[in-house]
Amino acid sequence: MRQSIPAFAARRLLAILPVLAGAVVFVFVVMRLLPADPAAFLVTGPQGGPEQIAALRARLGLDRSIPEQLARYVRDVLSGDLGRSLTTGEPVLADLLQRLPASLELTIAAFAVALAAGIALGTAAAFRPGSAVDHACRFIATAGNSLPGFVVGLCLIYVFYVRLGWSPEPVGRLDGLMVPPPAVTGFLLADSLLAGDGAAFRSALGHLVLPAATMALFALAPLARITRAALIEVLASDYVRTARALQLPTRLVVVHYALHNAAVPIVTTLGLIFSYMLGANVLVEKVFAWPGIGSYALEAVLSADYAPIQGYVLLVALSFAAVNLLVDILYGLLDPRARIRP
Amino acid sequence: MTRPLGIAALLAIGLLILLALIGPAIVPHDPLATRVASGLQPPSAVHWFGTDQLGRDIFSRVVVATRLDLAIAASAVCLSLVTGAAIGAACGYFGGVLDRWAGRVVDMLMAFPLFVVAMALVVALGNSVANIVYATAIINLPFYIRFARAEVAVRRDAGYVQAARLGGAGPWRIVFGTLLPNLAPSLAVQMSLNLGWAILNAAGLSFIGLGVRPPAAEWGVLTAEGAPFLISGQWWVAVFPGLALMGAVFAFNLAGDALRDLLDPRRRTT
Repeated sequence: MRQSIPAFAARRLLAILPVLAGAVVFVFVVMRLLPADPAAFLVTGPQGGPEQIAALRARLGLDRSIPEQLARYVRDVLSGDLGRSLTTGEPVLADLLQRLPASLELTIAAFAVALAAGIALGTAAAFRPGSAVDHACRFIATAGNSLPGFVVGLCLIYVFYVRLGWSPEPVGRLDGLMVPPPAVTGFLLADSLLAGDGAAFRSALGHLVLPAATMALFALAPLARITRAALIEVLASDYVRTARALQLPTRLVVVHYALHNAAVPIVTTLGLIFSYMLGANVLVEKVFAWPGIGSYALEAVLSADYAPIQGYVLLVALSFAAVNLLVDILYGLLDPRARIRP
Repeated sequence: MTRPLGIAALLAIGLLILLALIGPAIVPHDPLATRVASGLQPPSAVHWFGTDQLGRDIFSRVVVATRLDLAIAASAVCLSLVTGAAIGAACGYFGGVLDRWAGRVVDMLMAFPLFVVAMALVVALGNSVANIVYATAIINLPFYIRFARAEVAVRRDAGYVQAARLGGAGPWRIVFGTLLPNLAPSLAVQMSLNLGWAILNAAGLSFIGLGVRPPAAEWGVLTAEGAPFLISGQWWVAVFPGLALMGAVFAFNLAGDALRDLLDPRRRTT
């Protein structure tokens, strides 16, 4: 029986709920394994006696039993309370939401570039196996897997900022002295356009190019590889041969028959690539001093601040699940066979 | 195309292992000796890769770092190979409750971006080199578990397994004595590809300040130390360790691809 798209989506949505619940418990357990006591870590001043530590532990709820802490934690997470960052003093949820657009803008830009370039490269390679383009594709695919994002980022900074002076100083999302446009969406590119602020748009775009290119470079590799493999298989199929024998226009054969069918394996790797990018975010945001959630989590990691790390990992797991859900739905749209219930 | 590249990659790996073994004995300068007066010198005949802000010879530091980087990656991969293959093979052979629960844990682990899991684990376990090894091993586990599980499940009732059963071999002997040796070639490919990835992961963790701490020499730490000087034009401090890291990962990935072509014709890349 073939399901409708909404029914299929709903079933996929239900399937990720246990994973998310598991993620919450996993995060909690991992964080409670911490040997370093954040209360002792924080009260290091001259007045930090044992009773201050005990008071802080009581305030943080660390003196209760583990199951009780877990129950309280789950209740808090469900009500949107992710705790308070001990370094910024703000609620973690507010901090994360404030920084999320910066990370999303970067990830989406990189994803779009990688998608366009990877599919173009893979397609070009698939049509002429053994050609120079094909060798270039193979080389980029292997090199892209081997490139540490932070080294690539540093090299790009050196070439395009220090040597050529083409790109702005690699710190943050705008020039230091520039007044950011009023925040509507949080995406600087969109906000500056909405405000009609051309200078801010150019500055934001300039700051985005290098980090986005860094991330795109290594998301591109698996995409080009998969596109090439999938297309070669599809192009050798009977239906493409038939379409060609019928002298259908090349564009129709390539776009409608070949790419449409090759899209299925490509789409299934998108989730994996997005997961890579979320991890790479941390490194790229550090290199470019990008004020996103990755650098926020990093600061928390280095100052042993529980709550922001928990919040970050949960947010990342949530966005990862959301992307996988989207991929599943897209898959169901592209390939009706996926919606057949056994 | 793959053959010469694969041989080049194997030679590069041989060189890396050699450097890891005898590196500290052959470097031209003491990697920890500081001479501030000759700090931040560009590459020259005396200092091939230049010097850092404390006058330490970067070439010597990059060479000495090979041992630590390879040791972290190799122990992490061995750890996850042994545990992952054993768990996966047991799941594939016995199925049932064990298989269901292991599957769930693996799914849950895969619900996170793996670098983020590694980060959280190092924070939770404590910031040390040993914990980088454990974290890298844990995030590698799912791949080995899934792989061994799938391969064992396929072969569970193969002719030679039934023959072993008929010969009176117990389930453990079948799994470890008969089935796992048959997976060895594919596991070797997986391991080679994984080593490159493990090096990247460990260097990435060190780059953000987890695990290996300065003044110990490790490619990720060296790159991080050099990053501030890049802006003022002293590129050599960060770039050479970065290139060493890149080269090592590249070599392991190429060798893995070549090994796969050799051992597993079904999955040839061409």
